Amino acid sequence: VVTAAALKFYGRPALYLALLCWLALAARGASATAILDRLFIEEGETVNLQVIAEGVRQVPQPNLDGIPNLAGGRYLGPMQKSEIINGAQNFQIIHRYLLQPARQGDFVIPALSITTEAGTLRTAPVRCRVLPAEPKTNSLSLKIITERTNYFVGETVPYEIQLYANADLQQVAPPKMSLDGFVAGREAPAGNGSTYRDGQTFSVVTYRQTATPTKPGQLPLGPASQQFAVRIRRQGRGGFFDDFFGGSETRTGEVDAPARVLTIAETPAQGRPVGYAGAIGRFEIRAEISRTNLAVGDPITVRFTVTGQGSFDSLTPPGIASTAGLQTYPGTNSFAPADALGLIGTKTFEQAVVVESPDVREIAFQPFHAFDPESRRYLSVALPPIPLNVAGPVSGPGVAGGGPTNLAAVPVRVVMVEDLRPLKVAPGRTGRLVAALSAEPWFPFLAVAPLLAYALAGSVKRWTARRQERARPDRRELQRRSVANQVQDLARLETAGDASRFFAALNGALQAQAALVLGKPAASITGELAAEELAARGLAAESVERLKRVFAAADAARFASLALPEELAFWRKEATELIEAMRHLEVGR
Amino acid sequence: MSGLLKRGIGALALVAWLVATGSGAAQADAFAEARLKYERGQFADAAREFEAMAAGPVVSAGVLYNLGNARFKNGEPGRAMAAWLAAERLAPGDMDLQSNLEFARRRLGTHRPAPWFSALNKLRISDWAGLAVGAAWLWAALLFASRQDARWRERLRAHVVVVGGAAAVLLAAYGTALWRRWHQPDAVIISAGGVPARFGPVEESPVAVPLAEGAEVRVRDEFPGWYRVEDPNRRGGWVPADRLARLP
Repeated sequence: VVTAAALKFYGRPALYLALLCWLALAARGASATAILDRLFIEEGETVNLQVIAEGVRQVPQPNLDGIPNLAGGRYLGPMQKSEIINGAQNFQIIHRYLLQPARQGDFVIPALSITTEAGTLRTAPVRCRVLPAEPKTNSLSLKIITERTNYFVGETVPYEIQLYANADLQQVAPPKMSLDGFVAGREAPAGNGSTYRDGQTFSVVTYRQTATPTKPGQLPLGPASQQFAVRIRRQGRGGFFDDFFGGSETRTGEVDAPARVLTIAETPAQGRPVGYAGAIGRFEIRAEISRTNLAVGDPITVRFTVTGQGSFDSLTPPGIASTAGLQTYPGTNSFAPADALGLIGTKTFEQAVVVESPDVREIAFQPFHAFDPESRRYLSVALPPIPLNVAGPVSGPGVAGGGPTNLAAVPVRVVMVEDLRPLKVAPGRTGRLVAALSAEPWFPFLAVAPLLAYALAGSVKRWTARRQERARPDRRELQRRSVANQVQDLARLETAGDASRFFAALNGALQAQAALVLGKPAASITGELAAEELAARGLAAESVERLKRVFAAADAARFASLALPEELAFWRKEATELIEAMRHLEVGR
Repeated sequence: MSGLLKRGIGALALVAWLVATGSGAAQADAFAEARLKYERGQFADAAREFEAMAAGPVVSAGVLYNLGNARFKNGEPGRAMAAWLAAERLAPGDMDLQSNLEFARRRLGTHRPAPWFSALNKLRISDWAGLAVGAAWLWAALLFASRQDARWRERLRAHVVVVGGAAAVLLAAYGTALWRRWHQPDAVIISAGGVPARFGPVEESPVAVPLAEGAEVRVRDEFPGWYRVEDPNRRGGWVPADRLARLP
């Protein structure tokens, strides 16, 4: 009954909970992304924010209240986009905003929550850097931006070239960049955007590229120049005919950006580990081999997978420790970037190794070191050796060409170049650092004290009631006491010689005792009735006869209550013995 | 008089709000400044500034967490552990904090708590207490109501059983969290390079066991200037009081 009732009551909420869980699982197929159209803007400019929800049909406008450092914003409306990729339809809803940060520094859009039919989606935080405002006196201007001015030799420097145009820009050539002292790196596709500043709208073309400094010192990044073509209106009346027959002309020009001087330093000598090979960044490294059970002469492939963020161009693998009986061959490498500039990604190194001795028990690795430019510290990790089981003679040819072998069934050893998690950007939950009351041993008792008191009070109440119930004489007990009193009265009345009252008491005592046995009211008991029913209950026949006689005597005494003291003593003795005999017939004694 | 009183209260509230807002803004600036120093690699300065922020009676988990990071980077792993463990009292479910504690314990080679405790670690002990006591009270209220009338008894029977079961589970969780709290370390060795734990509270006493810097211990006894401590493996001895940091 309890289970059915519980199911009836809790079944529906449980169903809703299950539905919510299902929606949450379904929402895993949906996603939300926030994108700012530029990583660097100037103070007083606007930046475009797009909140893109994929895999859902209905997305309410996200709430941007509470974004720090936000001076103003405008909602530009929603946009829908549908595309089919590899036969699968991808549907996007994009909410667009124009935002203006309040001051210089980092402008961070925190994670936004969007409630959809597939559950709550969250975007990752995005940020842009707000730089000091530079006056834009010309209709076109070009500038070079880097995130900071201090870098290390060998560290990949991402930079942006931004072209501001307050004109009808028709065409632009890729910017030309002077990179004396740098090695040019990757380029990301150019981005087109717009911004509103000083009461005017500017088109902004952004080029993102990387360069790597090769020597220390004050190195100029740039200057840069860029050719462009703009359409300008001819001098004239500017009427319909001018517009129709070509009232404007295209003019070309070139705009220059001054060089940005960067301070390039060598990585610090202090703390530099022996064997440091120039890796700069934060990485995780994993080593795996193609197989561990092999025969002498068998080739195996050792693969190092380095994942993280940093300068992948200068990255070298940790290297295999020189071991007698282990022949290593030159390897290959490949890089899979996770961002357009190749600052984040995975670089894989593969190296062929041949075991030439059955005494080789493991492949050991040299320590891997990297310099973290953010914390300005060297991070090191020692990859644990991978044990080998080398048995038997040469089973086949040696390594041929050093190509990778099948890595499907490889035991994977994962070791990371670890570091602390980053700092908190906000103080977070506050509290008093004192021992919580709830941690004191007495707190649980105090907390549930009212419950215990309630239970105790109930128990005491029940116990008292039971005790009182026990203490209270019941009707039968009262009757017994009445019989006993009357028997005592008999002795007293006998001594007093009060025959009338003696026989009345005698009759009453017998009636009461018979009533106790028969369970009937005492007043309803007569001599005949008592004799008949007590005989049925097992009273001896001789006692029944004596009972009849005693009742008869008591009956007769009501009309002639004179009797000798010996007679009174006789009847008292008879009554006492009969009462005792009847007591044995009482149920429950 | 009543109007004057109201105006006075209003003015006081305004002043209090302005003071609170001002101090909050100053705190935020100091926090940002300390963070900046950390990012620039000035770990000692950052640690000093976070320490100043953590000196008040009311502290934030973020400040203690950042203080731990700055101390760790500054080569003070023991003091870093003390700050992180204090932060854990305020925000036990913080994943970054747990990650750093795990990282530091692994790096220092000190004891790592059993993983099944991590489930209990999602909530503070006061949270468990609130949940358990709330459920127990709800159960008692239902029980009391069900005893008032035969119809109510029938109607509430299922709720009494379900809520009673939930209360029992939550009380068990609270009890386990309490048990853990009473047995978990309440001090950290902060002495650089560790400290020898001795058989007696004097420097001449032989060494019982060396305790590493950052080792989490439980104080079992006190003597002027000394603590008798035990690590989770029940090894320990007497260490000078200035070589360890007591946790709140």
